[in-house]
Amino acid sequence: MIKLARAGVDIQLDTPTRWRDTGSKVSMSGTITPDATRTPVDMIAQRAQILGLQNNPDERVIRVVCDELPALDGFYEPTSADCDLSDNALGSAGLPWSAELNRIAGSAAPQFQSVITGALLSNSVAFFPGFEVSQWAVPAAAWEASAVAGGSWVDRPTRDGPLKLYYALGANQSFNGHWFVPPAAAYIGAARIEAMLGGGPLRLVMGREVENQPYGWRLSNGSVAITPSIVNPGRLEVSWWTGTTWTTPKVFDLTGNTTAGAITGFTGMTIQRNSPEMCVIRLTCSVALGMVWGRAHLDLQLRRGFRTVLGILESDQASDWQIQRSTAEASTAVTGGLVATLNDSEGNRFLLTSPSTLTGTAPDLTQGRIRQAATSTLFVFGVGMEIGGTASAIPDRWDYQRSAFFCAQDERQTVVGR
Amino acid sequence: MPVKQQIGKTGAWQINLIPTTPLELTARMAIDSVNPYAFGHIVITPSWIDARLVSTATLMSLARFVGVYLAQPARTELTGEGLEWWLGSGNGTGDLPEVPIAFGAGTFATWVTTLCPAALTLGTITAIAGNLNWATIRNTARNDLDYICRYFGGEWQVTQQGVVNAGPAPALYGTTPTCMVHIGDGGREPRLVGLAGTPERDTDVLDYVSRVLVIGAAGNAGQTRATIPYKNLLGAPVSLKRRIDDGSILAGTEAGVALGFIIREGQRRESVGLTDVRSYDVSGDIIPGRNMWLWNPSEGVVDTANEIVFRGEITHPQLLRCMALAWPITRGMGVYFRDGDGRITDLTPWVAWESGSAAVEIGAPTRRWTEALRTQYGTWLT
Repeated sequence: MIKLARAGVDIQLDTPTRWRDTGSKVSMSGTITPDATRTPVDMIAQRAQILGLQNNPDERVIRVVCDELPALDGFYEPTSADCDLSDNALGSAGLPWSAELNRIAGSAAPQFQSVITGALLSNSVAFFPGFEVSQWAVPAAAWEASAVAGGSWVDRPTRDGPLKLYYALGANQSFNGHWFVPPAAAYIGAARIEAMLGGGPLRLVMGREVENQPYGWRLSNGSVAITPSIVNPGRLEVSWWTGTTWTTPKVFDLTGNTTAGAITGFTGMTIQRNSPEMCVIRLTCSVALGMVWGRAHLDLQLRRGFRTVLGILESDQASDWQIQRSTAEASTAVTGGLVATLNDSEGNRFLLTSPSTLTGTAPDLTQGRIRQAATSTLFVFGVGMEIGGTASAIPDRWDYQRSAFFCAQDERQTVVGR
Repeated sequence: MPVKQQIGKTGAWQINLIPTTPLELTARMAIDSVNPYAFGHIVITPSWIDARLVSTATLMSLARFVGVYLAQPARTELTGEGLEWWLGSGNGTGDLPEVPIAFGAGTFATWVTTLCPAALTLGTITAIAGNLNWATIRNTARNDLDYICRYFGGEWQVTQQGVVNAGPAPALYGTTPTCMVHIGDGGREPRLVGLAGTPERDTDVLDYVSRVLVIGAAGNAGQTRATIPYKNLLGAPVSLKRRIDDGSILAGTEAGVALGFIIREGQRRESVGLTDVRSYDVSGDIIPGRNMWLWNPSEGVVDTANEIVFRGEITHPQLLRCMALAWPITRGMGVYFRDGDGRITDLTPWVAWESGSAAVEIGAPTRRWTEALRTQYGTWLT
């Protein structure tokens, strides 16, 4: 089997029947064949994954892991990829595919650079400089991972495996981190987008091209997973990885309180960014008042290693936007939002946060809701979880989750010369 | 050839018509010894408008670009420059005043109002504090306006309707950007238009000065930069002095001219060239003079003092200014010729449309167009 970036991870990709090296150029080809492990729907999904290798602005360098020939393992730059879809291809003929890659310098162990650019999130909730928490995560198998002085490292478990999480309080909002990682571990804890490609089960998406599946997607990084609610359209279901299992999903709903009404459904899903260090999806929304009121879209952003989902809701018309627990859960007001008062039945506490001025002197603490005090066409919010609840320690504690949200950071991962 | 617009310059344009364009059509814009069609105007609209159904004034009001018709290299080739040309051509030709224009304590508005040529309409002049004791004669309006604006710290602008506005740059172009240069992907967001392209950063200190010496009509003065961060070979701060010798600089104004030069022209120059702009109709979304956001953290083009929500990310872009724009005349646009009597000839059916992408220059003007731009637009770029 072979893994080309994310292709081959959730659907087995057979080793290419041809691998040709011409200096630093590699060309390979194979066939996606139907068998017991690969339904026609899986074949369509895998075809999409291979096509996503080409002209992918979010992953210009990919990992290659070949089970039969580990000597080929390394990092490459795709230059082309194709996969024919012809008559009877989904039957016995199979889908022939090919890809051409450039072997990057030092392909077996290149140096990665993470360019972190950040600053205190502008806010109206008296969250002052010096209290934001800078965060950055790499797979635990990474070696020579270096950030900047003044921070700390901890292990963070994910569904894929462990990460190393760097964090710093009130400092190092922007820095360049450097690290090396084995190809096999390159996607541990990576942000990812899955969609029901071809109408089948959720499959990893490569690149930004994806079918419009407003109710068939999942945004995850192995620490937190977000899916649309099927039972209650327009709501979000969020689960977190405790270290051994996923939490029961908590459901959240969004509403434009005095004008738009509730988000009643998602009409479209597109991908804004799909890189291992950060993924962003965009959902076009329907609101209770309908198109007469105007348009609204919801962007959901997730970074590698983070437990807080960043949401950005933008609308044509202004409204006092709110997000709340769909099932009431008593909460306590904190700077910039609220946190569940007590541990839930699984021993964790959820967190809602926003840089907007919130209603009154405290949000609705019975329901577990934060609402903007004034109407706006922009609502930025975070949904997090304190794993371990009141017994948790830094940086898993709710205040560090909140403070990491208030450190607005972008991360760009590239390969650089050593 | 694309339309080129550049802040503070006349720009340029060229329209190519298909070889089968009727003689009767090109006769309506022939530059020859018989017909007075030279100095007519080309009008380009973002989409075709039936000129028979609207007035000339309406058509002009909808124009994305209006240029002065100056040359006809071949029957089906029309070229010229932008409306700024009426302020004065590059070779010093224009409506030159033949009597002195002088004010002992002229305000910015007074100077601009007086210097505006009759071929253009005076628009809005936003006041800038101060007075200028100066006199000029037999100079183009553009040269004089450049001097006035440098002195007061303002800019001039000629709209596509031939209106001259002047004032501080924010008064002319606003301050809030409407475009974000976001490397890799374009798109139209609720509040910003994203432009995708390939940025090329260009920075140098070729014009950097540490001190300016001004020799005027009746005196001289010098100004030294407050902080000099650069060092020479021996570790001492660089000493780079520039002499300005200009008899039109009136006594008592030398120090102000020197300081103005240090602030506006003696700096490290930084610009970003954006080639291969593929997204949307660039010339409709951005005009030279307006601010833009530029976000490319992998190249260090960031400014954490700025925070902009864009495409689901909280970005920290750099604020830079569009200095120049070159865009192709593409199918779907409307192209018209307006002669000196206001008659409109619709050229749209006969235009040899261009393809390709646009080029945007951000920040300071590039010292020289990059190789990529030259390859794309040839020696037409100077």
